[in-house]
Amino acid sequence: MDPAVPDIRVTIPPALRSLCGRRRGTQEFDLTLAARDIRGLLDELGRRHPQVHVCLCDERGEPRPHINVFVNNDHVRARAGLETPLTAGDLVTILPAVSGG
Amino acid sequence: MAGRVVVAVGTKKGLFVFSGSTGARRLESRGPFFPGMPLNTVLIDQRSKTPKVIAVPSSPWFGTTIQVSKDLGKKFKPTKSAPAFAADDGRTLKNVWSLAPGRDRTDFLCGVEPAALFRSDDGGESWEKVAGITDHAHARQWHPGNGGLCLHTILNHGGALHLGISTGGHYTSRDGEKSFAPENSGVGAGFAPEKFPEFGQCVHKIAAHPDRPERLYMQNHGGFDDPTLGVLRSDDNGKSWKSIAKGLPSDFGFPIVVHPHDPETVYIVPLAPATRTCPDGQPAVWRSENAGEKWSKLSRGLPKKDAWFTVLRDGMDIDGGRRPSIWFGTTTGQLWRGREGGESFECVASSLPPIHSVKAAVV
Repeated sequence: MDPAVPDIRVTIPPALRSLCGRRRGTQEFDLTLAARDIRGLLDELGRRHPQVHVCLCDERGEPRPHINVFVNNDHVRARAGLETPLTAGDLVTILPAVSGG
Repeated sequence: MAGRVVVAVGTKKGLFVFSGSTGARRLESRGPFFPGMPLNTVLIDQRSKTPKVIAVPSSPWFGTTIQVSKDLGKKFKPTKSAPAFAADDGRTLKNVWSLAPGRDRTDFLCGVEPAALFRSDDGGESWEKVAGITDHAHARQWHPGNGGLCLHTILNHGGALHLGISTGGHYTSRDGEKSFAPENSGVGAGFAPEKFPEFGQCVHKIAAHPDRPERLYMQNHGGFDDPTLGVLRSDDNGKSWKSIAKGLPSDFGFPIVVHPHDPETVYIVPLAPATRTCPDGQPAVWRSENAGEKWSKLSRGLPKKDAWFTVLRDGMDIDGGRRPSIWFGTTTGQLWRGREGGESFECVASSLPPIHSVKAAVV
């Protein structure tokens, strides 16, 4: 593996964890993906777990409208969107928005 | 021996399946499947010995899947993929509005929002766009109606593939899905400067009976000063259309359904144009037994007043029983059954989520 690409800890919505071979609703669950930025991380997610990726991203590879992506405590739109850089030790949290009705 | 009726009900919050013998007073209900996910369409596919219930939940968060049940709606299994645009297309799939059997035993056609058509030749496992309509020169000129820009009707009929698009109009392919052309002669657009444009009509639903290949019925967007725009019939396989709305309380409505054993018998649910609910709060299905020349009101068993629901475009169906029932679901969550072709209605379920789609079959 390219040592320059950091390993990033990622959490995905509980509803999708069974698609990674975990029991549905598993509370404590992280993926580790190597990526320099959010776009690269989503691409890597698509390679490693395509069934998860298709749930989180549209055909263009961008997060679906009601999916939020955070780096540590910041929504990526408050940083640089999909170009938000990642460094070792970052935690990426992907969550469904509080929406519906 | 009495058959078994299966009714698949797609709602704003998941799928419900009702089943029982055709004569039963009460049906067993199951669901919600795919809780929290809206379903604009459902299909009961009876081409194989084992009928399939195929649901298309579209999660607002996680996207769309195609879910197949081989045990009449007890367990569902997702196919490997759902329709999707190419990454460089620029469009992204918002919803699925129609799923229809193709010409063979395992193929399907799927109409989506934004308006486009996809084909699967392997039972829904993989999908490819039907370029003739998806990349049609008109496609980027169509406009969304209130429900979105959707391809909602797919009808293999009379040797042609007929599509209904809101707001795009009626398109046909007469060369095996290679090319498509608008066929909207007589189909009006009361909301456009040109009353009868080449395309751009807000078609709500199209229906036909296989025994009359030249004939189709259309519920178009009516409710304008000209009351002849809404309910139409074609006697030349869709090349031209004429009004059959005379005698109706309104030419506005969404679904249109043809009797399974009588191509002359057609059903609609007229709605008040302003509210898109039952005229004067008095719901009724209207039936014509002579291809729209004359209409009669069917309301026995339905509320007599204060009922202000809407029946959406995919919200009515008629099962294929010997003495078929007509079924419709409302935006207020009631599933109604009209036995004997609508002679008398009974409420099968009174408190479901808002109903988008109803499909009924006797298996």
